[in-house]
Amino acid sequence: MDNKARVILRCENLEKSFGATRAIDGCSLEVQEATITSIIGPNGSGKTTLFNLISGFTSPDSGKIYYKDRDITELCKKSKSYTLAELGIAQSFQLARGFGEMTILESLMVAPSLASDNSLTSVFKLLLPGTKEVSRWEREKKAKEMLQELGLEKKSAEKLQDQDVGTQKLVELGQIFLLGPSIFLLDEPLAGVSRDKVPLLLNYIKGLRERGKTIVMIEHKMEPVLNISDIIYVLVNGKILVRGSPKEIREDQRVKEAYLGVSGVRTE
Amino acid sequence: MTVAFIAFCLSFISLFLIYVILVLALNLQWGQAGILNFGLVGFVALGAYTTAICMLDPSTLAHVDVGFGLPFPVAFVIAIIVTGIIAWLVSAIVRLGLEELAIISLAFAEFLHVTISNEEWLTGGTVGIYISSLLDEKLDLLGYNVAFTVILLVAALLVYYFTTKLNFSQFGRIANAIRQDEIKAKSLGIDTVSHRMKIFVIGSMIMAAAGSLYIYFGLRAVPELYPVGLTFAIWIALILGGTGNNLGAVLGMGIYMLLDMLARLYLNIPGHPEIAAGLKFVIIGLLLVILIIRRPEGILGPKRSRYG
Amino acid sequence: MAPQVWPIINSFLLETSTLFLLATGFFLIHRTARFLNIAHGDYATLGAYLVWSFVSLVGWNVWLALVISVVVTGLFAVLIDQVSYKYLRGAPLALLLCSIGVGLVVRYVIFIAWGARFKKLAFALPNVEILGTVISGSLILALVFGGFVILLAYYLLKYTGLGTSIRAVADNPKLAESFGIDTEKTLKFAWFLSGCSAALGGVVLVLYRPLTFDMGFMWILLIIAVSILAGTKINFSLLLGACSIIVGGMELSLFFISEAYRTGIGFAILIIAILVRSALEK
Repeated sequence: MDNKARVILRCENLEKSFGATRAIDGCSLEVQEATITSIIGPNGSGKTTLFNLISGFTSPDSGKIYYKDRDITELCKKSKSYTLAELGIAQSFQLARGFGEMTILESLMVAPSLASDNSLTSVFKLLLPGTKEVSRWEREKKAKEMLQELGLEKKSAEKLQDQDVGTQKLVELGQIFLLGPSIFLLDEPLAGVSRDKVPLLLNYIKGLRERGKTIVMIEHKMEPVLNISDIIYVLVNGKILVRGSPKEIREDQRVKEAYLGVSGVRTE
Repeated sequence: MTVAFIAFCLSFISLFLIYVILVLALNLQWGQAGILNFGLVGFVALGAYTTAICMLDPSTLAHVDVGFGLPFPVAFVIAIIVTGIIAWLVSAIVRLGLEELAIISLAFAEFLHVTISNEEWLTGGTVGIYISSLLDEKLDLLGYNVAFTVILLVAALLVYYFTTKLNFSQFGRIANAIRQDEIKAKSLGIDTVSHRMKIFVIGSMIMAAAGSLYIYFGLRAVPELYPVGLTFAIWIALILGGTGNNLGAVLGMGIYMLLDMLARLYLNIPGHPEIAAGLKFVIIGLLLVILIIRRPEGILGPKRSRYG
Repeated sequence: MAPQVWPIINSFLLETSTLFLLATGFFLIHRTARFLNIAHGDYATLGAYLVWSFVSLVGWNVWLALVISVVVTGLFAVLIDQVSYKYLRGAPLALLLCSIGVGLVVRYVIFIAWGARFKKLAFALPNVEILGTVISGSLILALVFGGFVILLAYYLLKYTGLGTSIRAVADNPKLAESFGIDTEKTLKFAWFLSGCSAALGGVVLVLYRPLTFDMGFMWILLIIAVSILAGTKINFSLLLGACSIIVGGMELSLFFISEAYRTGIGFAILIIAILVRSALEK
């Protein structure tokens, strides 16, 4: 653990209840830049809720979230989730979300969408005959480069919804990368992915770290998590049980007990 | 082939072209962006009546108090801008959901209809507004119709060109993305509410333009020209021809008008005029149901972007 | 009670009961099947026309005609669901469009079959006199029907298995399925009840309004308004409350604005209702 690395994301004493249920009961965590931090825990421990708090899908009852030392707790409210993306926090979804009707190539052209693409003046410019969209070639080029990076050039004209989950998730990562965020929040990136595609995804995620990106992910499959993470947080009943390196976690008795007394690590 | 017959054919084509502009606007809102707009006829009426009020010389009509006597081009621009502003206000509801917008747009059209029928001082009430135009004064029957068919053809081609270009641009791509998965679009930094509002406004302004041209052509604004049935007729044409496909939309409109004409000619049972009118709507309703269930993409299917 | 106040109260009670009866079935479907059935008003019209036909053409007793028409309309609603809506489960926008088509078909088949002219239901109800004011039979019938429906709804939802299924499906259909509830069967029952109550609403409407082919359709926006205003759960008392608020608002507005804008006020209240509801949800 490199103590000099900057803390890019910090949560202090997050709390969230749904009615009578305390989903998150005072969680604090720190994420360092250019690391892979994983949050694991048994079912019902509150991983998804914690994730939703960080990604802005739900707002905490109390506690604070800091991004690059800036208090973003207020911004983490449902309707403003697009501003988080603008700040540099992007997320992927457990059930691969995407623009299924589009071809893979085109789905990689959606982001980033600058304010200028969105504006009414750009619309009126289209009225002038002969104006080609200046940025279209740039955008298409970047998308094609991403396709190559992902190894999907042959499938560029295929629809996203016709792909297997692994490919869809790979494309999702590519989409997010083109957005240019600093933090990637990944919600069970390996869920539903076939065995042969898992290494592809893991390699890509590791590659992101090499490029200075920060990854925070929740995942169920223990072995991959232990293999690629720098820091692991174990969440049980809404509280952080322990934080440590994969080696420390692997040997921690409390973690083993938390997973219902299964001896050894559950591989999947 | 008498002159009157040719003039009649041309006026039919002119009407068709106006409907084409409307269906293209609806395709932008629904086919591309997935926004339900049931207030179509309201925006058309808004464009038409604003144009009429702007062009009217109030001294020529006793029952209307307001008029500005402006030339058509100025009235046209004012009508589009006014409609844009009102569409902006109506579309703000989209923040709360698409179903809500659908209902509010329907309510808006109904409310507008009531207002138009009642506020005689402004809109001439049920009698309406009659305006005069230079073209009408200078040209004979045939010339008039030819002029308008040309004007409307140019307008329709412009709208076709514009909406296609819009659909294929990044602006259209964003709209398409929002339609498919709003949450995902937000996670990629897109302000989905604002974008949807913009599309709604642009579409409504095109509808107002059609209304404006229509009234310049017909020179008469009466509430009964803008019934709720018009909204649903355009919807059916769009669904029939291909949601999300401009060419399909035009095709659908053509087929719809053909069916309408056939119904008028052949569904007449002597002595019972209401059966023809009623049957027409029954068939429209059945078509809508069958299409939604069996082939919601319409005859041509969607073509929302250059990439397929 | 001053004599001038009574007509207003009378009108208010009558309109609220009518709106409530018309909206009940719509509300039920909105909560359980999750879409806005634009054709609901036309179901009500159908029910009223059936009663008229049985009474005027076949010569039945009014009450018999009423019962038969209510049942027939209920079955009709189930039929429509089975041939169309069933294929679109879970797609609210498609269902909305489909229901517009269904509404057109029902409305204009009625138009063709029964003609465009107004009809009057020959239904003489005795008036009752209390404390010097004459209470019309229509009002009494409307209140009786309204009371019956709300009590039935309460009993059904709270004490019967069907009611529990309906509540479960309204809350979370997938969860209900996993508990072994047959959602299809529950929906069929919901549609039957929806159609029945629509017919009741149509009959009450016809007591004081002319019977025409688009009589029910004209109410659909108000029906949608109260359904939205009534919140997110299946709570018929909230629906009744929403009806009173909207009708009350419309009646009050008559002091300021001309009759024609009455429905316009209804829409204004609809917009306010939507805004209030979303503010409360935050």
